[in-house]
Amino acid sequence: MTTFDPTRRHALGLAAGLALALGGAAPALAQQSPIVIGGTLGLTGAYAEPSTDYKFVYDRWVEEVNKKGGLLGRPVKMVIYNDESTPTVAQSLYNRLLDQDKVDIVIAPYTTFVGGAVVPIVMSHGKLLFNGGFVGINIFKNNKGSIIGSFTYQEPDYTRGLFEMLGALPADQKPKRLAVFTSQNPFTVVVRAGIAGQGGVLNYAKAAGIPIVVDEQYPPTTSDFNGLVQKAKAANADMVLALGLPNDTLNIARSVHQQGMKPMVFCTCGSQVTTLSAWPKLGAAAEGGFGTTISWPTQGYPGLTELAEVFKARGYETLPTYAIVGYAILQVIEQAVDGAKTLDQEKLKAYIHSNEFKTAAGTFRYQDDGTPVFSQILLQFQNGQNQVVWPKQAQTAQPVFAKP
Amino acid sequence: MFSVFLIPTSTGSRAAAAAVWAAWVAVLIGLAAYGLFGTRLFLLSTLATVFMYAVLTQAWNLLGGYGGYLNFGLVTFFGIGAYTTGILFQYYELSPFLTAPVAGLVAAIAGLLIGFPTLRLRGAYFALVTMIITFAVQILALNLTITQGALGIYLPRLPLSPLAVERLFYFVFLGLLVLVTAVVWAVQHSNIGGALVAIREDEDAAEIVGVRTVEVKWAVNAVSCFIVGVTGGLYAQRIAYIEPTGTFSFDISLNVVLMAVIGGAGTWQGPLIGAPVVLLVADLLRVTVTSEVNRVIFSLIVILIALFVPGGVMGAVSRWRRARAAKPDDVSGSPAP
Repeated sequence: MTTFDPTRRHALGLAAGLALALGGAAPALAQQSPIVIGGTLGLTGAYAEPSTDYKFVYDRWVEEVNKKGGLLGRPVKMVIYNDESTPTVAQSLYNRLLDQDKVDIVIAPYTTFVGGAVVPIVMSHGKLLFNGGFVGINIFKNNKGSIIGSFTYQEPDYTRGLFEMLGALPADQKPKRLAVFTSQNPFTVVVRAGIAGQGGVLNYAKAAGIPIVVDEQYPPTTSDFNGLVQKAKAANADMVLALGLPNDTLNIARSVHQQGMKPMVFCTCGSQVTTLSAWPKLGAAAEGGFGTTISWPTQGYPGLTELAEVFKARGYETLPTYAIVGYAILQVIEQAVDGAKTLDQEKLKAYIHSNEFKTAAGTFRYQDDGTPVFSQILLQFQNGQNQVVWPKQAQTAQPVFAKP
Repeated sequence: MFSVFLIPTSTGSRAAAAAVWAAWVAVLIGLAAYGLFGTRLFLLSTLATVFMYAVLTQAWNLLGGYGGYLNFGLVTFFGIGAYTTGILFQYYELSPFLTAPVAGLVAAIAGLLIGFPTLRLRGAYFALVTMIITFAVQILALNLTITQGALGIYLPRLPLSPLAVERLFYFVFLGLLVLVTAVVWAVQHSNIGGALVAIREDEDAAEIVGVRTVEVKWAVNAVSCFIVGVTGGLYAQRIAYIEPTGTFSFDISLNVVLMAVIGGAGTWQGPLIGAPVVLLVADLLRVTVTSEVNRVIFSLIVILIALFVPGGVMGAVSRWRRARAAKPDDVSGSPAP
């Protein structure tokens, strides 16, 4: 039998009293079981950089929301596993999140390649997938509004803003010869070709009367783009579109510059790389590059300015698109749970599809497929910083076209 | 050098051998019971993945372990299998459960065709070529219309509850594992097994003593590719979405080699030990150390095993048994002179 000497007994009693006192002093919030939000991110592997931005935003939001009293009077806990940028690992981890961790709300991983693989698992559990992580118009449509997105444009519309801006130019000032480089990735191939004849670079270029002189696809692991750039240069392309993910797009930009190519328009129209911290580090190669994003701090959307400041403190000149969509989807969750006063997925879905949400990415009204109504910002990197060049109402500078 | 992995069947008493077999049967019964009555979806799902990888590792083991041919291209045939069932579903709506044997056949034919030139190579050249072929086939899948290029192929999720789906694949892969392990055991104890070991130890000498090395390698490679193709075909249904980057991921080949090396290449028990060790440790780290540091820790563990347990777990067991057999009368525990 275990016995305690008087001194130890006294110390134990003191500790127990202290614990009780501290427990009593803690806010009532801590006594409630938390609402668990779960998902994965590719914190290592090919998608580590954007995933790290997402993680930072998620952690910040959890802190914010808990300071405000949590959701439904309960604290919020977030479980984010590292899927190693690998679909099979993500699948296994989503099974764990849904079965073992019993998450109340599921958020999506980064990028279509990983996200597409987890959708069937989440759907088979009767959960909504709150998706600030990837685009995929077909995936949204196939799941009939059960995936709730925060990207305000999907793959077919990635270059819509660019072509609308070019469409407004006088005919003699428009580019005449287009080169397109596309990563062989489920997301970028749709950015290029569109869906069922709708959207996509090929269709936009045809409508704008810009002939495509180079149309090359490359494997996602490609790192040397000199050959492709040479081909575009030989074809006298005055417009180059790089439809890729972060690493390959940065390499294309570097290669275009190194080979002395100065197209009138160079757009990184796949992943939003011009908003990443890596973009300014390209130096002269970054100058003049176009890219898209979701919203801009001058638009005054809720939380956007604060988010931009936080990222500035982290060394980002531009607020990364991934931070905006990551934060926006959490704002949707917050407003939906508060508004519907439930975690019941069917009730949440009904509420989301019949209400508006004010987010850092704009005011969302959801379409039947679960995507927000289209809106886009076209950026151009001028004199070391991003400027909004389209749409006109958000413009911070006029677009500048290089003279070949 | 691989011979240390083989546990001599002549050592040890009949009773000890029976005890070992009884332990394996008990593990199998335990796994079957968990499959029937277990309700933890994550565990069922993880174990199904372990079984799947153990099947792949057993298939790799035939030529890679017994034959000593370091093959880094296993995923080529896995992907071919996955795409065979995926395409047959996409265009003819045939269930992968029906077409998995076709996937195996297609992979075996591909194995024969690819094996014709590659199996004449040895050592680093063979390893290098198997890697290059994987990348070449992946590029084909990215560019062919029939595979839908980078968009990939979606397969419908089975109309069952998540638990029933995982339970189904748990038993499918467990059944396949038992079957494939039996095949590997039979090969190990057959003339083919002997021929493979001879090839591994000295291929030229094996040829001189009459082993038809090329035919043996082709035949074994075809069998191995068939198993891998069937597994890939079933995997397509399990994952419900295949696309070239993930389906032909070099990581799959690398994982299989790692599992064989850690468990003990060239033994039928090695893959049964290596697959769970690698996958369960990796999974445990993923959920306990949720930051990116978990991959560093995992790599360190693998390096430590490679440094201090050469020959893998079965190699260590073998050395221990040999040491015991070498000093049967030494009861004092003092080292032999």
